Amino acid sequence: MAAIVCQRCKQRPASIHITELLAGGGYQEAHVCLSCCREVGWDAGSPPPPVAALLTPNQSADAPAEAETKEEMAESGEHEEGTAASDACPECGLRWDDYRKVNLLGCTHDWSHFASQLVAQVKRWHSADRHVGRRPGEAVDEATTAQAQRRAELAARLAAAVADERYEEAARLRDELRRLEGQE
Amino acid sequence: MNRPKDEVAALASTPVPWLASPGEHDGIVLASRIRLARNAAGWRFARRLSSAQTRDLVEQLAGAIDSVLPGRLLRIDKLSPVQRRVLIERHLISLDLAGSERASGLWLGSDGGRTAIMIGEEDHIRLQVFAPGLALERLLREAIAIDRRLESRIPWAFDERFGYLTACHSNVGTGLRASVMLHLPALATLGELKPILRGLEQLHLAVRGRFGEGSEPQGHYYQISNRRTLGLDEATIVATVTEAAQRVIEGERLARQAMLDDEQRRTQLEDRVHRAWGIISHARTLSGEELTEHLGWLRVGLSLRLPPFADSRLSWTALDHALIAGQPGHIMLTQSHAEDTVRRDRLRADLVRSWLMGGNNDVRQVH
Ligand SMILES: [Zn+2]
Ligand SMILES: [Zn+2]
Repeated sequence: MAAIVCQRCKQRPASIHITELLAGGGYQEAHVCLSCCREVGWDAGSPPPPVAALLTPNQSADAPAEAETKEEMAESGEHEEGTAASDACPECGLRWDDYRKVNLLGCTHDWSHFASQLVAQVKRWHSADRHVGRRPGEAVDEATTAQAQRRAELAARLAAAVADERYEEAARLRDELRRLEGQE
Repeated sequence: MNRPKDEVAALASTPVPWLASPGEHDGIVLASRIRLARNAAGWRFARRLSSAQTRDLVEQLAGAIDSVLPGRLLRIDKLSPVQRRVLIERHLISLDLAGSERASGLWLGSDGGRTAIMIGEEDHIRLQVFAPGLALERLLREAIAIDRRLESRIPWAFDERFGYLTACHSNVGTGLRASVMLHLPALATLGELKPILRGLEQLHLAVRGRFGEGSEPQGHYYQISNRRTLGLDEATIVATVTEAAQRVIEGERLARQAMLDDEQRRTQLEDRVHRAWGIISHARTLSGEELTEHLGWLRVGLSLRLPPFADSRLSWTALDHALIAGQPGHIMLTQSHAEDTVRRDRLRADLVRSWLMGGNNDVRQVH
């Protein structure tokens, strides 16, 4: 088989092949190199990044991200406290552009210094922007675990139904899942 | 702790404690792992510290860990490339940590590596607990228990909105990565993996080959893990990965049965297993890739009790051992003059025969 060239940098050979389902049905594939994976924040010990994050080319990746950031910043208004994307963190000197290159923050203060930019980043990756898990000092209690199992079972059946295009069953399962989530 | 060389060599000749096939799932599940990423409040992230600060951090963290988790510190930056490779092959450290020239460490629990904490990676610590089979829930409780003891000594960076703060946005929130390592040769052979993987994507789970990075992982070993770490609680993440794993396991079971029930498929399956056995028991050179591939089919043969394994002395323990100890780093560290690939492939063939055929190097048919 001929070596496939990385779809992102179009230079190095693609050594990583990722298949991912699209929200609207169907799936897409990415053939990329390890360096490009690292650029979007993949460390070798974790699951591969979303295909969308990989296949947005370097330069234009910044454009929509910047736009989103500006919207966010406009939205949050006075909460900005004068933070512009170009301002370095006073604690560690990191600039937002530096983070965009390596996906590694410099210090924990960056999470408040670049909060508006990070919210956009986090939403894209996690489809959420707020921590709902354990807090320091807390244990994981049994009731939560039982609820979670029931939810996970429904979610898995829902995913299988969608994948098999059994849409009526999927709709029913989605309602059931919503009801369960509403009870908590 | 001052003799890392001996420690890693000793480790390389012991079985990994989290591999105990076949377990309750016919050898389809190899192992589970829970990993928590944490950073100490008041310190910069590891990559932004000076070398002196990094050394300080590693020492302070190791000191705190020592008081809550029995074990010992291996300083990764003081290990040779081969020793680091052995730790990667045992899934104890990441490629990233292995490449580090700055102070970094691995806290190896005295349970023989069932608990292992990476220190000084991109996050200050990555706490990992491993177990054979599908055991994410229990591992989560264990990991949280250790984390609770740790956080009474080291206040972790935590934010009301973002949760546990990490150096990269992909780990923030719970900092939790739950993984299950699966062996799925029948699904792969029948071409049924793709729709299943699509179903997993719906659940925001990621799947990748466990050995080899290509699209066709050697030996059909796959790892399923959560992609989202924020916006879900720990129990939900673990339940989701567990539920998905159970479905994939059931799929693999059905695929195996389907192969047995169809005459042509059954012949194909038996042929693969016999060929694997033929090569493993007769080859005089064996590459790492070949070994991984053929061990996979031997696992299937043993699990389905296909001939030639119906009543052979071939054991799961030996297969598990060969999968780990047959890797290049392990052979280089435990055998002399194994740096050369040709010689190493020769050594591997000999070693694997002795492990699998009970120390007898004669080539015999097992019936
Ligand atoms: Zn690339
Ligand atoms: Zn900073």
